Amino acid sequence: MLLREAFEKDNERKYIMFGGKGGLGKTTFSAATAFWLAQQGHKVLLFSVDPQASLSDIFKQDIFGKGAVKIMENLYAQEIDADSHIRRYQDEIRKKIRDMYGIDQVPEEIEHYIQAASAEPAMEESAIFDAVVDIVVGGDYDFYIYDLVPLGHALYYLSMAKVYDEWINRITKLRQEMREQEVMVARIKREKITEEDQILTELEYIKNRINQSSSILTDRKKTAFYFVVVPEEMIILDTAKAAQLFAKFDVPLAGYVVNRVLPAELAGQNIPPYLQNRLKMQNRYLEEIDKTFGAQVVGRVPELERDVTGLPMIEKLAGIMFGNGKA
Amino acid sequence: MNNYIAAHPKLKFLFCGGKGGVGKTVMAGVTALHLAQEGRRTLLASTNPVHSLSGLLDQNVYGQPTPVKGVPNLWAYEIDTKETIERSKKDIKEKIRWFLKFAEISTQADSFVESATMNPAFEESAMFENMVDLMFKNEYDVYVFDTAPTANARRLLGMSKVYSLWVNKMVESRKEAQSLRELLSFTKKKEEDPLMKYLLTFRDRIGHARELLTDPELTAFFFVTLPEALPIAVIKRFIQWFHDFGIPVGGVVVNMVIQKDQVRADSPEFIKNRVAMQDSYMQEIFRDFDNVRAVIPLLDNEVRGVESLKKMAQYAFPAAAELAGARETGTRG
Repeated sequence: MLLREAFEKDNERKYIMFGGKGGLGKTTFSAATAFWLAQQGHKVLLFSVDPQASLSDIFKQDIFGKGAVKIMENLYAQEIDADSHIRRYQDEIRKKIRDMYGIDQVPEEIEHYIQAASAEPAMEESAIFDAVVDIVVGGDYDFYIYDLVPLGHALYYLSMAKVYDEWINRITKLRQEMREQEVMVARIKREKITEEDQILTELEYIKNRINQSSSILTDRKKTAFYFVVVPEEMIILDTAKAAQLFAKFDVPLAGYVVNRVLPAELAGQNIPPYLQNRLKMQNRYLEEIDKTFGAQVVGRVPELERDVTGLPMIEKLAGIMFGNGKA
Repeated sequence: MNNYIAAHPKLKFLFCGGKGGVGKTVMAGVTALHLAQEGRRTLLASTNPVHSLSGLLDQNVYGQPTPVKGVPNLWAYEIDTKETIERSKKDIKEKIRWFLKFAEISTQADSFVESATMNPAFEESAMFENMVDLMFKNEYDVYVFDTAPTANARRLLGMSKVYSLWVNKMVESRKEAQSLRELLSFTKKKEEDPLMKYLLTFRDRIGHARELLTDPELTAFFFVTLPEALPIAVIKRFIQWFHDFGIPVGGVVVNMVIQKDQVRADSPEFIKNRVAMQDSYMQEIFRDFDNVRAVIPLLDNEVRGVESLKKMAQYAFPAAAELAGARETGTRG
């Protein structure tokens, strides 16, 4: 199958993402890909930031907020708990305020702001962003598979990274100017400034992290983004639309994987009425998919006789996706 | 379903939630049909940016509440979410431009706004705004929404205490800034403060929405699932959240259950295996949820048009005896 070739040929590939609308099978594809890569001897981390994440359900093991949990040899999975990151964030902010201003306790007035900030949607965004950056720049794994929330998120990160970057540059510049003045004042007063500027160090650190992670996301050699589609009219239209936007943001689109294809041999058998009609519709939409996405369709995955949960089913799906089983 | 509805005569706001692709819209349609047939003026509304009500009813209901042909008392309405999104995009773009200029950042706001509005959270906020508008207008006896804005409801209601803390804080600092300005101004003329007005309206809106949405006499969220692991897990989590935040949960509806009388001895293994899987999940559903309101079969056709909705209503609003029958077959496997 083409998907397998892509993984064997592009040996610098390190970051894999499956995207698409809800309920199409992104998580199962992510899990099967992670499983297959681990089987090939690569050390793999599969991670998700979705608070509705299903990794725990698919592996039948509670991994939420527990860091990278070993699922089997070479395969690790992680569900990020954004809320706990926010709490840690708040603690860090408190600590920084205490350290910078040399006080024992954060003033009540400021404390209110810190608490109120946790209700800010942006707080969750940046907590997630931060957690993801931690993971991808960590570099402990051969492959990272990112189970995305439905559409959009990758784009959001990319564009946010750009704005963050300029914003940080701006603040850094201001801070440097302030610093120069401080130094000058000190010189006039014949005092010595020896301590390091903590704020500047902090800013530099944030800037580096942002640059590292956004360069990873747009690196065509290292990163591959796959869309999951199913043979249904609305889904095909929505996917085509989303793909156009992704192209605008230089997301390295590696192809489309078609899910839930009813096995053709069912047609000749005694099948219940609910299937007959679906089978008829399906062929038309498969043609539509080939017409719309052409050579970029890298795989068709059949509807299985049961849903994919637990390692045996994940292994079966991996076999089908990567050509060890029937395709 | 009918028992719950009979036991809650004041019910006014009904929502259908669940994982993508489980049939929330169909369920909303069937429920609205039933309520209208009981004689209540019912609005079936979709705030979803990707609408399927017109498809479901086989009639164009886009842009305004439209009487549904052949069903007295029922109106359907696909809200133009794109317009709401465009409007808030414009609004946000102006705010961001102002901010970027203020911070002397040279980035063009457009691409940032575009990507920010691609964020699923943004769409959901627009949906939520539209939904709240309809609820406040109060022009119908009962409202059925085809999508439960789960994340927003959770954030809004779960965090509304912190939210109002935040808004109060903002109002306070605006007041300070305002009085300082008045003090420094020569004209002594009172200036209108648009930001302050926005904040206060926002706070009142949240408070009112919270009141309506947490009233178990008025509101019920129904969760739709399939007999499969992931959709079940998703609604378990949703129901837990909703319980935690005091949002009334009406119950669980199981959709797309393959009817056993369609499966014969010579049916392919593929079908038999799926039915076996389904049986074990049905057992799990009846074991873990004490509020299953309906079990709906997987039909041979897409549900389309009022007639097929009526057909489905038999399953969604079964007599108590029929549901007990489904429970039996579920547990026997």
